[in-house]
Amino acid sequence: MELLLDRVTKQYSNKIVVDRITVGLKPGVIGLLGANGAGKTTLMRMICGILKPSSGSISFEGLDASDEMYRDALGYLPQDFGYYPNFTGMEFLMYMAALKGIDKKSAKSKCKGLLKIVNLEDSANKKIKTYSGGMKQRLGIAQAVLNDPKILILDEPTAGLDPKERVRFRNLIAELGKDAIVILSTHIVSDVEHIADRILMMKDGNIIFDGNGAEIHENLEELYLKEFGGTDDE
Amino acid sequence: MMNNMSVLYKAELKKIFSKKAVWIATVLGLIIILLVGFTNLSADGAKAYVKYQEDTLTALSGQEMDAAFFEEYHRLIEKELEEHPERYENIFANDPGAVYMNASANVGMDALYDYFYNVIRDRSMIPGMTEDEFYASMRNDIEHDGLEIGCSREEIDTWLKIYDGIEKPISYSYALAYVNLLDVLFLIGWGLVLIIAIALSGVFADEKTYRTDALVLSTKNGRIPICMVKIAAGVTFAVVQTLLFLGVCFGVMFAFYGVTGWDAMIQNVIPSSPWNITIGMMVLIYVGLAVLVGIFFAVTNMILSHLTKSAVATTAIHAAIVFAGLFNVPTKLGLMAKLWQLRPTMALYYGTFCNTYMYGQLNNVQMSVIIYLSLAIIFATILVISYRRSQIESR
Repeated sequence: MELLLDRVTKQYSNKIVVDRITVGLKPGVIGLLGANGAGKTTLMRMICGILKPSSGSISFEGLDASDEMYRDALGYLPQDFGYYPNFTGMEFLMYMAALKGIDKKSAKSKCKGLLKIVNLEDSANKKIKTYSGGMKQRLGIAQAVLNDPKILILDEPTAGLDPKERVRFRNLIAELGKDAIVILSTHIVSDVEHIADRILMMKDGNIIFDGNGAEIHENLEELYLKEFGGTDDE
Repeated sequence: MMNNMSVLYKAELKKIFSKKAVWIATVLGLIIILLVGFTNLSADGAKAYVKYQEDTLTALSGQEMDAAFFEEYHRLIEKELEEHPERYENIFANDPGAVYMNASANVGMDALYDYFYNVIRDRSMIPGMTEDEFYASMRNDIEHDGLEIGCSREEIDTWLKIYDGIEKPISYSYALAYVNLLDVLFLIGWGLVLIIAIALSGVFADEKTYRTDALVLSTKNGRIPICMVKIAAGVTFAVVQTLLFLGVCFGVMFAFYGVTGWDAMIQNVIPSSPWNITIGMMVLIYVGLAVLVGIFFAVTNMILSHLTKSAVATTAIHAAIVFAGLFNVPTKLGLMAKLWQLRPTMALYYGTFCNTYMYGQLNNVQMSVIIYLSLAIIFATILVISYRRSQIESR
């Protein structure tokens, strides 16, 4: 099971946002670090099949990123996303389950279970417009893992979560990373340094660091500060 | 799969119906229909009088408009004039042509008088009008209307041939409900189009506004299936709204004026119509056309919603297109004028059943059905293809 990115490029007019990235990703948690404009979100959108690369290809088990069955294996939490204000948490998850092709009966139990995991059980029947930022973020995480994805893309997933929720979330990600390819983009180094099996660092559309395990744990923060001049906010 | 589609379909309907603007526009629209109904009633006098008129004219319903029919009408009016000359002295002095009109009203036949006037278009000709004059006038009106809108001689002759094929004498029927319906259907058509514009402008655009587009597009059913479900939900809304508005409008008119007239010939409500159909058939064609126009506008609105990604822009463009329909294209522009006559807002205009252009062997209604249906299918197909290729560029 491998997600293959082969010379993936995205170019807008004269600007190359992602520059011929070639990488193979296997199950585990992959931390994607980079400053503003590094090309992380563009790369993630291309992996999700919602943005077509200018050149190159993205495939998973022989399926192209534009393929319906590829999307069937995908879970995605975008950085900048919203909800239908008049839907309840449960209705929203049921809607997402139907979009993901999960049959109604198993979707219901799956949604209930996930709402419990993300600590939204009591608010399941409340309209999303009454949710706090953190609750919305947790609901977003729940929808991303609804279909037990083989590829899970999380763009800034810990934004809006309190420290306790952040720990819960890290544990959930670590668990998911055992069977799936989890790509987690963040500007908070501590979010990934303890759970990531592999770190990809992006700058100006290129991967400038690709390391794993022990080799990065000691100097990740230092390396990040060195590469991005002390600005770690994205 | 069907299981998923039903969940998505219900969710899409909920998105449309949960908009406050939709409810406000619907309630306002229904209030306007009721007001129009009450206005008609007050214009025609008290309910008791409408009932009196209905009873009087319903008694005549089913009678053929032959020589005996006209003689009986004249006899009743003359009798009224003889028995109550004092009622008409002043009217006769000031406006002799109005005597018959007032006498008709006093015997509960002003709707019949109005009908004769609509055929003959000259008050002085109503007293003493014969069967031959009546049908000759009807035929002349058909020819006159055709010339007025710029129909060719061939088109006029086609319609006259159809008119000549109608068995005469035509049976009279009290049909005031349908006469009043024709007056308000055009208005209802406009209201419907605007409500559809308000309700469906966000079907695709709101996904960007709510920032849910990336979530939806990255899912298995987030391309073609969801697009088709959205189209189905939008079309459902348009059909439901059309039937609701027409249903309430028919209900109001039938409650005020009764349902008599369904089986009568269309010439009872549109004297200058050359169509060889009953009023009931005319109503069914209207309903069918209204539903089709609703579907056409729904699909047009949704494709605009997808292309502009803005509900406000979609509503504005839609409203501009509809208001452009207020203007007429001069008949001297030939084909342009002919095509312009098929604009959707014209479909609910009573002129649909008058002398109109022909499009080869097809009349305006047949051509409208083909055009609206074809365009709705073409637009829906383009929408699905375009939506399938949707990309999320930078915000």
